[in-house]
Amino acid sequence: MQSNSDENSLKKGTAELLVLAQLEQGPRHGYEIALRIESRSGGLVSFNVASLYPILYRLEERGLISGLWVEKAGQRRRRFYKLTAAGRKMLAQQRETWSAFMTAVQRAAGPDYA
Amino acid sequence: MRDFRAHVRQHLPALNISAVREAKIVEELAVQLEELYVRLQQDGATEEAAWSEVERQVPSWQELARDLVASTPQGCLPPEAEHRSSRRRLLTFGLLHDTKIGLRVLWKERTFVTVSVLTLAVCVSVNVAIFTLVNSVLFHPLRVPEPDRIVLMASQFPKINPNVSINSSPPDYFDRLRSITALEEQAMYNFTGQTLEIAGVHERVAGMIATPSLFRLLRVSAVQGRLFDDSEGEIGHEAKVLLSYGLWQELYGDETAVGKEIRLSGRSYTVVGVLPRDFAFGRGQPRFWLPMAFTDQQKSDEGRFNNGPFSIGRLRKDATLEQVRQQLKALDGVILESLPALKPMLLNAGFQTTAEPLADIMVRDFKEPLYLLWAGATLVLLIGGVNLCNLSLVRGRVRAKEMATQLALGAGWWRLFRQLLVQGLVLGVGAGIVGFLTGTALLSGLQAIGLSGLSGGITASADIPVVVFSFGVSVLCGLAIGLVSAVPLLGVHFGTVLHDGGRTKTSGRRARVARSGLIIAQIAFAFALLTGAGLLLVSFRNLLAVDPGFKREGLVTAFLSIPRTAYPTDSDVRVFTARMLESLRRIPGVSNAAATSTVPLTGNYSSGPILAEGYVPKAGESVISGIRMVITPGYFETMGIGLRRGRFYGAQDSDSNASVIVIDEKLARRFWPNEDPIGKRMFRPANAREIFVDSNTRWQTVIGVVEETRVRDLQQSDGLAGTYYLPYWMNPFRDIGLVARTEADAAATIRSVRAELAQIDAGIPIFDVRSMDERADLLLVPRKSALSLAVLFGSVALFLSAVGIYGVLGYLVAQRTREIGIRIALGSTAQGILKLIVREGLLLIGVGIACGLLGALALRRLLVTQLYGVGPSDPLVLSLVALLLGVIALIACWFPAHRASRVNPVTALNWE
Repeated sequence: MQSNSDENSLKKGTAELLVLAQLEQGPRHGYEIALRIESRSGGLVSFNVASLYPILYRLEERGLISGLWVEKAGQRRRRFYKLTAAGRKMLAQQRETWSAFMTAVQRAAGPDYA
Repeated sequence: MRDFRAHVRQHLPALNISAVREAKIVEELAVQLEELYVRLQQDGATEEAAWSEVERQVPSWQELARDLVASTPQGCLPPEAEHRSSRRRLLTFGLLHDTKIGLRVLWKERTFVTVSVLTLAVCVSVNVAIFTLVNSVLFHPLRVPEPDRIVLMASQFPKINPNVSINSSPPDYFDRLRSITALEEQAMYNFTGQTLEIAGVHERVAGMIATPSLFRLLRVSAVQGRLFDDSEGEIGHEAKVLLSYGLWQELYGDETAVGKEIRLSGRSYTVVGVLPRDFAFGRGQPRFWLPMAFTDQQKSDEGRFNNGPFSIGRLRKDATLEQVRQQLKALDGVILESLPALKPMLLNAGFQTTAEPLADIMVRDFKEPLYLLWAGATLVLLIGGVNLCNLSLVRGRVRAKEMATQLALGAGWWRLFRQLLVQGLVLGVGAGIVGFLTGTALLSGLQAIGLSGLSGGITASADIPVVVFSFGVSVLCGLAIGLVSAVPLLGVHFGTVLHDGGRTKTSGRRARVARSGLIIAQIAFAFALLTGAGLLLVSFRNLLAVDPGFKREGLVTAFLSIPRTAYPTDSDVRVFTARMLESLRRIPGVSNAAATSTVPLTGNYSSGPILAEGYVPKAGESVISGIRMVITPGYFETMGIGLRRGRFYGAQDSDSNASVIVIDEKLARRFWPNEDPIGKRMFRPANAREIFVDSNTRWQTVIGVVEETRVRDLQQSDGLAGTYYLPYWMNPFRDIGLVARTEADAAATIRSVRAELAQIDAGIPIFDVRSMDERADLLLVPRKSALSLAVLFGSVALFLSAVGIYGVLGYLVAQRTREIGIRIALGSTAQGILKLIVREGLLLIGVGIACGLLGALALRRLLVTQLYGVGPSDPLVLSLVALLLGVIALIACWFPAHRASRVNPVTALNWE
C-alpha cells in the first residue's frame, strides 16, 4: 500500500468489498484472490502481500470468510478462503451501498447540465 | 530454492500473539511469496527480477506486523518505538498476553483446573490456618513496640524444681535495678484477681499488679488520665488503679473515669487513667492495674527466693541479651557471697539467674506443637503438590504433541515455557485465593468449636504477613506446576512426537520415572504425617485413660476469695470457711465438701522446699521441693484419694496449733524408702534462713500417707518430689478452692452452691465453677487441638495419596493398553494382568512406606515432648500406619488394575 493516507482510506473502504467479491464463485487462496483482483481491474487495482493478508484476517475474524488449510497431492499446502453466509450477505449489502455511492458521486461530480 | 519462511521470519517483527497463530501467518505469507516468485519465473522473469518483486510485496514489515496484529483478535502490538526501546514493556505485554492465552487454555481444560484448584486450595487452606496461628502466636506474641528487646529474668533452682522458673523475688528486682546496666528500664509485675461490684453484682475480675515502671517499659500511654508515677509504687500511696478500655466502658460508659473511686475486694482505689483499647499484655487479659509496692520485709533478704512476681527489663539500644546474662551472672556471685551460710545449699540446688526474651517464654508451650503442625501442613502441601505435578505431567504428555506442533511451526521454546509457567501461576494464584478464604474460615471454625488451645489466649487473625504468605505459597505452587508441566517439553523433539503418536521412548520413560519418584515421595510424606497423627492419638488416649489418683466423676470445683475488709483476722477466715463448708454439705446430693489451696488439674499449683528430721543428704545433694497444698479435713474423702498409712485429717486437727502433716507416697519413698513415715517429723523453711534446723524450727509430725495424685496436669509434668498436705486450720488463707462431691447433676449442684454462698455473704462471688471432668477436658484442649489438626492433615494426606496412586496407575494402564492387549492376546489371564498392575503399585507403595519409615525414625526426636505413654517409634503405631496406608493404596491400585484385566485385546490392538 502507498503511504498516501487518502488513498489508504479509499482502498480500505473498497478493499473488503473487492476481496469478498472474489470469493463469490468459490473458495480461493490468497494469491489467487490477489491475481483476480489485478486481472479483473485491468491492472488498475493491485494488492500486494502486505495489504491483502491483514484484510483477509480481519474478514475472517469478523466471520465473513473462513479459511482452511488444504493439501492437494503434488501441491504445497495452501490456505483457501470461502465466503460464509454472513459474508455473502455483507457482500450483497456492500455492493448495493457502493453502487448507490458511485451513482451519487457521478451525479455530484459529473458535468452540470442544469 | 529460497527459504521463504525464513525470509518472513527474519523480517516480520514478533507479533506477540498466539505462537500457533503467528506460525500459521508466517507460513501463509511465505506460501504466497513463494508462489509469486515461482509464477514470475515461469512467466520468464529472471531470478533477480522475481526476487525484487517479492521484496516489493512488503514495503514495510513493521506496518505489516501492525496491520496483522490489528486484524488478529488475540493481540495488539505495542507502539513501534517502545517495541524497540523497552524490553520491559514488551515483557509485561507478553506476560499479559500469555495470561490471556493461559486462561483460554485452562478454560478448555476445566476438569484439570477444577481438580488442581481444589487440591491446591485444600493444601493452601490448612497452611493458611496454621500460618495464621504461627504468625500471631509465635511471631507476634507481644504487641508492644520493639517486643524483642524485652527480656524476662528468673531465678532457677533446677535441682530443687526441674521446671524452668519464670519468677523472681522482690529483692532480686532491686538488686537488678542497681546492677543490670544493660537494661534501660525494669519492671516487676504479677497477676491478681479481685472482687469488683459491677452494676450491683459482685464479680471476680482479672488484673495485674505492676511497678509504675512497667508502662514506660512497654511504651504504652494512657488514653485518659495518666499512668502511675513512681511515688505510687511506695507503700501508702498505692491505692490507685488504671482501668482497661473495656472495664472503663463497662463501668462508666463514655463518662470520664479519672478521679472515680472503685472498690476492689472491699478496698477503695482511685482511678488515675485508662489504657488504650488495643493494649494487651499478659495472659488472661487483665482488666485493671494496681501499683506494686513492697514492704521493707519484702525488699530484704527475708523476701529473697520467695519467687512469685515476674521481673522484666528492656534492653538498652546498644546492649545485647548476652550482656544482661553476664551482668546477672556477676550479680549471682555477689548474692552467693552475701549469704555465706546458704551458699553451699544454693550451689547444690544449681542456683542461677537466667534471662530470655519474654516473647520466647510466652510461647514456649506452643512453640513445638505449632512448628510440628506447620511441618505437617507443609507435608500436606507437598503431597497435594505431588498430585498436581503428576497431573501436570500427564497433561504435559497429552499436550506434548500440540507443543511439538507449535515448535515445528516456529514458536520459541521460551515462549511455550513461559505460557506453561503462566498457566501454572494462574492456577496457583486462583487456588491461593480460594485457599486463603477457606483457611481463615477453617481457623475461625476451629476457634468456634473450642480448638483454640494452641494460641495461648493470643488472638490469631489473618493480617498482612498471612496474606503475603498465602500469596507466596500459591505462587510457588503455581511455578512448580508450570515447571513440571514443562518437563515433557524437554523431551519433545517434534519429529518424534508428531510421527510417533506421542509414544516417544525417552521422554516417556523420563516422565514415568519422575511420576514414580513423586508417588514414592508422596507415600513417604503421608506415612510421616500419619505416624505423627497416630502417635498423638495414642498419647491422647493414654492421657484420657490416666488415673489421676482421685475420682474425677461427680466432683464440682469452684473458687472464692475472702475479703480482708469484711474478715480481717485469721480467725474470721476460719469461721467463714467452716460455716461455708457446713452449708455446702447440707446441699441435697452433696456427700462431702472441702476447701483447698490448690484445685488439681487447673494447671496452677504452688511448691516449696520440705525437709525431714534425720534425713542426711548425700554430698552435693540438693534440698528438694514438693507440691504444697493446704486443705481442710474432708479433702481426701471428697476427692476419693486413698489412704495408705496412718489417718486423714479430722476434727482433732482443727486446733490452730496442731503441728501435723500428711504426705503422699512419692514423698514418703523419697525420705523413708524402707521405713514407716508415720510419727516422723518434717519441716518447711518459710525463707532461706529457716533452712537450718535450730530451736525455732517448726516441726510437723507425719500423721498420714496418701495415694499419689496428679495435681498440675494429667501427665504429671511437674517433676517434683511429691506432694504434702498442710492442715487449713493452722494455715488459713483467703483464696479458696472448693471441691464438692455430688451424686446430683453437676449444674444443679453448682446452682445450689451459689445460692448457699449468697446466703452467707452476697459480697463474695464464686468464680471459675467447673466439674472436674471439665477441668480435665480443658487441660487437654491444646493437645486436642493439635491432635484434631494432625488427624485432619493425616486424613487429607491419606486421601490425596490414594488419589495420586490411583491417578498414576490409571494413567499407566491407559498408556499400556496395547501392551496389555498383546499380553491378553498371547494368553495372559485377567488374573495375571491384575497381578502385573498390582505388583507395579505394590512396588511403589512398598518403597514409599520404607522411605516413610526411615524418615519417621530419623525425625522421631521431634515429637518426643508431645507424646505421653508411647515411644516416638512405637512399633505398633508404625505397623498400623503402614497397614492403613498399604490397604488404602492397594484399594487405589485395584481399580486401574481391574480395568486393565478387562482390556479387550481386539479393541486395544485396533486402537491406533
